[in-house]
Amino acid sequence: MEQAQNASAHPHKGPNYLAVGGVLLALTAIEILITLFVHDFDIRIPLFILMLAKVTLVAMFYMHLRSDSKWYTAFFLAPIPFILLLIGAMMLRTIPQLPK
Amino acid sequence: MEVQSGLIFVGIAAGVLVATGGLGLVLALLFYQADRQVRVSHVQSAELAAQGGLAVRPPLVALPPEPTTELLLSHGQVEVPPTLGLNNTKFGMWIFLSSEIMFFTALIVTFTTLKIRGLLVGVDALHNSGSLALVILNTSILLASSVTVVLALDSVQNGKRPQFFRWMIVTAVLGAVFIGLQGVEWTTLFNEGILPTKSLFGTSFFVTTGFHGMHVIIGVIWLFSIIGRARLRGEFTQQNNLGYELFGLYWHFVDIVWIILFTVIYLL
Repeated sequence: MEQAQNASAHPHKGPNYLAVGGVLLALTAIEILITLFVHDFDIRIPLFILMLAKVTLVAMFYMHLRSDSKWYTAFFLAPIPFILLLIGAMMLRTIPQLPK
Repeated sequence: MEVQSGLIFVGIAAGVLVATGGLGLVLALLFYQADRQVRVSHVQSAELAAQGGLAVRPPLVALPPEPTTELLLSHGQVEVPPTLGLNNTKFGMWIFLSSEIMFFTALIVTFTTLKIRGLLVGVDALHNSGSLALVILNTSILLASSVTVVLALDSVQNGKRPQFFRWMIVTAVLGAVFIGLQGVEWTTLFNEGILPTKSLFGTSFFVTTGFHGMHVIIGVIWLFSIIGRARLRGEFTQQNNLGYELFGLYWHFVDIVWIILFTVIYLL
């Protein structure tokens, strides 16, 4: 019965998966170029943003979160508060011990 | 050294393909047998119900009849509609992925914290040009495998069965190649004296990438079992492809984890 809900009577038209794949590869190339050639400023933030962009693209288009029920998105994002808590706790322990 | 790396890659990639292919086909056959037994028991209970209901032991205390029990006795099965309007199986898969997010977060945050505190002696071995080139190739391979997984799903949803098989096989090969290249990288680090038991860097790196690699191997086994079931029993059709969609969710999650590991471990 559950699987019958997945039946489609007409051809399924999804996003352009190859285009999304191309964007993912391009973002990866930008990440690598930044790592290899940018030395004048802190690259952590641009790399973090690019990483988040890639994760978002895969989640939205390949995992179909964009077109599926928002409950799936909610459960995918549900661990984030715990993640932030864990990162915060680790940073609190780490920052006082950084070399001055 | 280059010949040795090539042999290691071929050995590991081929070994992974053979082992996961064999395991996947065995799983497919086991699913087939289990499914056959369930179908037979369903038929038997339906026949019993048609003859006049199943024999049940009377309760010790007289209870009012439960609607669910009555449905089970009369029809042999009962369908309970989901309350959120979600597919229960898919919902369960997302819950599982949420737990995996927390699992990998613990590993990644541990690695990152140790790195920030300057405790990862030997981490520079990952940033030399040879190692980085290998990892960049590996990342491209895993991204490509994500594309092939979703192209296979698109093919089966549009009734294009030959393309469905083709993309699945390409995905399995890409997964095995990824593991093979990971094996080459690990061997290079072993040869440089970086071992899981020798340093904090070794432990955190090999545990994190090892668990990710294990997830890839499990994914390849699952994929081969899907290929086997699709071939042997004609499963995963245009009307019924939820099982493959669930595999796709798992594989894309593994790809997401690698996107994060690639940035955190190799680029930063």
